[in-house]
Amino acid sequence: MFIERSETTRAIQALAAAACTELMQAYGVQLNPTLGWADSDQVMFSGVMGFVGDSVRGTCLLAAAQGTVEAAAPKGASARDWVGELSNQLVGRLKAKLMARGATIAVSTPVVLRGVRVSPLPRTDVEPVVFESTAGKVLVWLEVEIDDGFQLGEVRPLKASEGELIVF
Amino acid sequence: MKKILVVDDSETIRQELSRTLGQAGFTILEARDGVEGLATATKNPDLALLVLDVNMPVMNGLDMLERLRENPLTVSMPVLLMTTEAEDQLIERAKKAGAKGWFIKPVKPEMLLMAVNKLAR
Repeated sequence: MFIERSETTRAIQALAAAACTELMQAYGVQLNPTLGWADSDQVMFSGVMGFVGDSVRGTCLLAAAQGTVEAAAPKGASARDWVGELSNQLVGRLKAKLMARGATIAVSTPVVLRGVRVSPLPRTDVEPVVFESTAGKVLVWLEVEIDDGFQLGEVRPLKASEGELIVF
Repeated sequence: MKKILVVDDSETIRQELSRTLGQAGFTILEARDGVEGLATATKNPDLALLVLDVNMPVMNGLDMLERLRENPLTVSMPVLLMTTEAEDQLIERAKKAGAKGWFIKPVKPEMLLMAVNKLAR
């Protein structure tokens, strides 16, 4: 049996939000929580990735205006390519946070969407998290299901974290 | 000049790595996935190092690494994995397949150069 509205589900969504803040900061964009999603004719880019594990499964969406994506991108990057890479790195960070708490997931490769006035329609009462930056808004939307009774464990250290090298 | 093969499905990542390593004097070859990477590696047995992403379409970096080890032309090529993944089992799989290192993105250019200079043959 899968449940969608639990403290654990909310905790996982909070981990995704934290992962997004850390990721964008690593690329020079400072995010602050805010309310309300973009309501303009700006072109938006979204990266969508699925993940699945023994006890946790779901989908993660990262969305931002083209200008926000470009603010976090290396010089000359295309927004389409970079939002896919950011989504990949976001889910990678979420995976590491889950793994440190005892949950292992496998991830898909990202699907990238482009559009105007695209709005999330959550199927649960857990709303997507919206951040603002000087470059524009960023949205993280996690639809997650967990096994009945599953709980995140105590945080344990991993072999390595972002930016670190392991030499064999 | 030493040749390095960069395999990543992100064009931006490939360009960034190529810029950093090219400015340091390396010749860079690029591939978008493991299948392209295998073909390029087989045609270039003098590669000094391969830098592989893990999570890629068509063929991922770990599968590519294991396939490299099955071919006499590529069996001894040094490989550095560069990925968002930090899963112990994946890291152990890379180690078992003879990878030289595992880098977790995002990677700063100076760290990349340090690793490449240490691991390239």
